[in-house]
Amino acid sequence: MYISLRRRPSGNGPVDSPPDGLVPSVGGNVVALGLTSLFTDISSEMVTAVLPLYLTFELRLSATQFGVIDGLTQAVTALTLLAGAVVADRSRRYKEVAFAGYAVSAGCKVGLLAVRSSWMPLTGMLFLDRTAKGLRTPPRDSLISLSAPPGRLGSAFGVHRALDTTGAVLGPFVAFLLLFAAPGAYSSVFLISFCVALVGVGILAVFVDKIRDAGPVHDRVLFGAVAELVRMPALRRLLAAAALLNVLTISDAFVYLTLQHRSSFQSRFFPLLFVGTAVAYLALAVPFGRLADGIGPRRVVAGGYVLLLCAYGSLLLHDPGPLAILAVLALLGGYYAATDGVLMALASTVVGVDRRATGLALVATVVAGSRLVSSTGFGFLWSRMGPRATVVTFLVALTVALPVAVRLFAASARSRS
Amino acid sequence: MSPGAGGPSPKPGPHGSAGVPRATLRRRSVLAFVGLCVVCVAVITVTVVRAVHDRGPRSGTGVAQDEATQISSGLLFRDTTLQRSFGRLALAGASPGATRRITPLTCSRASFAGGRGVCLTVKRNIISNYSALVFNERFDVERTIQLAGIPSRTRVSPSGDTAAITVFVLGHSYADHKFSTRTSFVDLRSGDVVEDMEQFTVTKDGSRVYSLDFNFWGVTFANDNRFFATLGTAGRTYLVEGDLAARRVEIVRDDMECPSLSPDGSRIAFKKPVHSGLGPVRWRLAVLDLASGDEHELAETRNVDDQVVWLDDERILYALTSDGEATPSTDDGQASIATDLWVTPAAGSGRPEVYVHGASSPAVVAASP
Repeated sequence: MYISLRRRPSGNGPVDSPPDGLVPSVGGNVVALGLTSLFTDISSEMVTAVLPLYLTFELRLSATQFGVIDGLTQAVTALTLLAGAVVADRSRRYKEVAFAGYAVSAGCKVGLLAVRSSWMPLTGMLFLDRTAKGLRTPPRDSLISLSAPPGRLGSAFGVHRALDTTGAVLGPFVAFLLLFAAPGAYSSVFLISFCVALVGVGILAVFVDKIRDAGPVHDRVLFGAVAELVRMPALRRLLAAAALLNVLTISDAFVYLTLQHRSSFQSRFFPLLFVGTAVAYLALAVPFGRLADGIGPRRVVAGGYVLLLCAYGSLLLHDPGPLAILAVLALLGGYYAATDGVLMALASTVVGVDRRATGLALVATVVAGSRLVSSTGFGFLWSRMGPRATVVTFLVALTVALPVAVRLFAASARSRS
Repeated sequence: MSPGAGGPSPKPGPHGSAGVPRATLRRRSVLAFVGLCVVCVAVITVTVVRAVHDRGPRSGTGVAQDEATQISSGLLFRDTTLQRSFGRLALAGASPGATRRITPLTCSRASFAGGRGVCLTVKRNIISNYSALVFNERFDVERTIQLAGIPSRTRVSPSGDTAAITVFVLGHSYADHKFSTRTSFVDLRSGDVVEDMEQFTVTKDGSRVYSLDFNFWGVTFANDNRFFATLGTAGRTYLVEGDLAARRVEIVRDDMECPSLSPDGSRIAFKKPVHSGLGPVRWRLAVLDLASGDEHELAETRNVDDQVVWLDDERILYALTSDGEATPSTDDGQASIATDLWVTPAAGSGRPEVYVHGASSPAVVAASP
């Protein structure tokens, strides 16, 4: 049974409305959190989109230096995920911890303006921004899971992820629009990004209610809290399944590169691949979330991986045409919609309210770590066997692993009850 | 931080604090949020208007000008005199400093050989439009080719039948933060893209190598089929020699960028990265002798980030901004930067001198037979 679902909705939305309509009612809190993410993502993706150009053309960093900065800042996010989660769980101040994370990120946009002439402080600013991103994510996901009306966990995460992805799609668009109109106006991009981030932080401050659920507060140190969670059989099995699946998942960038290698479509359309996947994701996030509430999140996650396998299969076609490419993007977007938020919804049913943020952070860390292993492995195999054989290897391995993961999910559900 | 974000009002407890009813607190914070939004919208509007207004060339020093209608032998280049002719393609006579003749074409990069030229243009709009104009000796535009991204480099083969065009393609940041270059070969007679270099087989010592991050740029033609170019992968750059018909390139040498083949085909001028720890890379010009494999640095010690052009078998031309900095790798975003063309001996001796003031992207046009 669900051990930690919040009975009382905290938002303004009606709880008992029927699950009809285009968008399920998930409560004002979830929508407000989604809007916070939307504005924050517009802001941060604006900056990320122009950063490579800014660093290499304006500051004249080499591709290697850029790669080092990029890799390090990604690692920082993974490391701070757990730290933010433990603080949030120990203090029960999910909103405050998330607020701190969003506010620091907003401040970093002004910081980028201030340090724009030299790359060393700039790298520091990017680090701080990534730290803040790690800090805010688990308490935010906890707030979503704790604000979701009963039986609507999947829908709540679906609504949040759809809004979040909308921001991620709009951000680069806004940034490039501005750079096209005013070439070289990087400082304007940073300033506008700051303003947009402020609106996001404002929404969180004003429209998201605090949640301090009852339950014992644990005052163990970081490792104790994590170790205790990992000893829970239900969560351990969930983590194992997530790790297994994500290690065998090909990262998006590699899927696009393979597509480009195997088809004769013009490279000018390359950036559209990212947009295509994101649009499919945001279109399907809510329906798949509702589906998870209806037939159970495990089935939806498993279905998501079947979509992914179909996408890999299409990659093997000889010279895939426009239709096949669109199909790959739709399948990829569908896979994200069926797994990303739904996995968090699933984890929310496994981890008790007292350690919700830490539990969700563990899942996020395991997913991020496995994907790192996956992309390293894919790159290694590609340079030895070429694209086709590498895709076949991942396809076969994932096909074998999927039933194992499904059994792990089922065992996780059994050990919970 | 603005009021809405920081929350100046007391934290609303179950009954409100400081005796203020909760509904009032709520109303106040919503009002503060609305205020924040108004301020943000105002700041964004002012920023956009100012940024868009600030671009465009400034007025500069006068250079004698005339209108050109036909290419004769001499130097074709992009005018950067910060006057109305800024960005237009111009012709200089045999003696530098003579009256320049302005052509009808506006380009960010150009190349000309064998009676045909390519002019890479940027039309700014809501979504900018990048294209390559193929023009003849009378500057008639014969065809327009759509480009996938920001113009970077172009070279026309000696016969004037084929061109290589490199653009920067901005990856969408949703999943991938990298930008990359795309180089394609275009048949100038038909306007068709013949080959995209991404599809080429890359070999090293004869055996095939793969990588996910191959990027090509800076093509220089020996003839319609044989060419040299830069291959960038895993943070390093290589000189590659290519065979267009066989769709194959062979890695020849490492740590060099933007090759330029001498008119006699015996040497390659290139820019060499000078790494200084984690700081920005600087570029040093050098010349490689293809037969012996010897290379030597040129007298120019400043940071030159340009694909150089051979003025003749003894002298090399390149652009620097007027304050001696490297010219931008791409002209996008750098619309109104004053540059000068410099010349330095290919032998590595002597010292660099200004060749043409207010010019960039040179192309040496041979006298037609």
